[in-house]
Amino acid sequence: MKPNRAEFEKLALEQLDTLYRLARRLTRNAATAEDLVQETYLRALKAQDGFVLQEYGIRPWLLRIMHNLWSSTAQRQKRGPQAVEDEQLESAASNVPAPLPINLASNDAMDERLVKALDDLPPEYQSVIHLWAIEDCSYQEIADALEVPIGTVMSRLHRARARLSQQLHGLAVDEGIIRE
Amino acid sequence: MSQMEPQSDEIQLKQAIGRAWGKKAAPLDLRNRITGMIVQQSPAARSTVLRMPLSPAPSLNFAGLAGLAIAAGMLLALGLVTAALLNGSSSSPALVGTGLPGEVANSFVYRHDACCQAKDHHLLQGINNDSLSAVARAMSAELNVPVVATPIDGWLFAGAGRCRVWGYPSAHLLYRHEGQTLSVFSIPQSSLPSITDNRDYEATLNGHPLAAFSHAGGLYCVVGYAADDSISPAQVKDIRDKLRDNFPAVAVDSLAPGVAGNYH
Repeated sequence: MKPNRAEFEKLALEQLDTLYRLARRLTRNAATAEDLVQETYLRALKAQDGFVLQEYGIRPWLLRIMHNLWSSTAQRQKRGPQAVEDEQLESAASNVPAPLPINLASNDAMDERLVKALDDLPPEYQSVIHLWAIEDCSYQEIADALEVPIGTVMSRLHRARARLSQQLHGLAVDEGIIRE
Repeated sequence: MSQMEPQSDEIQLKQAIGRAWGKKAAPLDLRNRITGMIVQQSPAARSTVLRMPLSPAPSLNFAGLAGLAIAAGMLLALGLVTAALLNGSSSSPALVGTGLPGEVANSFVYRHDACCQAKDHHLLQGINNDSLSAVARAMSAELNVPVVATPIDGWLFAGAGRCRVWGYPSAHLLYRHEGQTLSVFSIPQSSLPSITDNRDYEATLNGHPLAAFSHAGGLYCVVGYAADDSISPAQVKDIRDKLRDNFPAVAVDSLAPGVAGNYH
């Protein structure tokens, strides 16, 4: 289905918060994030004639525009996230899927440690885990947004969790929350 | 890993990540800007989409009457857009003026407002920020177009930065005078849509007078703002005219390599 202009604008505006949050995650800078969101909407408005509403709505389409925009900007500036092969990412993470080592439900100190552990993840993992955990995107939506196969989404998520588990286990031991 | 029934530790992890990273809403001013930008999508901006298929001799691509009918329709659409432009009528309630595409004007205004909020706009690392000639030389070499960096009568130079407009790098000089703020942007024309060389542009957008000129491959845009509306379009236009009349005779090729830096 091809939405008319008014429908398109309404759908697009509904995703502003989602886009802003991902932009903050990608850029780690409020002003740059706002620029990125604005540029994403400009591109989306220009490209709206080619947009067709599908199963997951407009969200993956807008996220894909933003992700591509940021990737090309980062490459141009030779800063920010660089393309990293999954093999490289894999070597940085544990191959063994570990259960989460501690109770994450109510521990303020652990939240701080979790922030650090999350922020230490490679950007490719952060994007996936952000879309999965914060935006509650399905694997297929994440795959569409990042233009990677669904299997890559699942493996990145799996490895990100393994890595978090690894790091938080060490932190939990350091804090005396659990014993080795 | 099944998505059908999330395991309890998945839910727990999602909640913990939610707490750690937060789920912030977009700032209100960003929301206003995006909403305004959508409203300001003028026929001028959309006309580029209409024009593109016409340029490579469309009749060659069409067969018979159907092709002619489509071509005629496109020409009619282009004619309507052109007529709207010639009449100076814009669908935008906020943008007044001609020539400068609404979204580009919006991008200049956005950057002006965002940078005015900075405590210090001396943002160029490796360059003496208080030396306008040093700023001009370094940024000209970096952008590959002459950069306008000059004192402006009655205005206090408040610093320069590498700032993005329309997603592309520009040299942004900020000036202040009592409650008024003034920006002078230098940006390659190639970064912007629908800009032609040796032309003046004027517009007013959301209380911000803009006046620009294009020359020597660059677009030079002056943006003013005062909360009490004490800066007029005529003042900004006058400043633009002075900058244009004293345009720096800088040979970019002769400049030393600039200091590459990050644009915000």
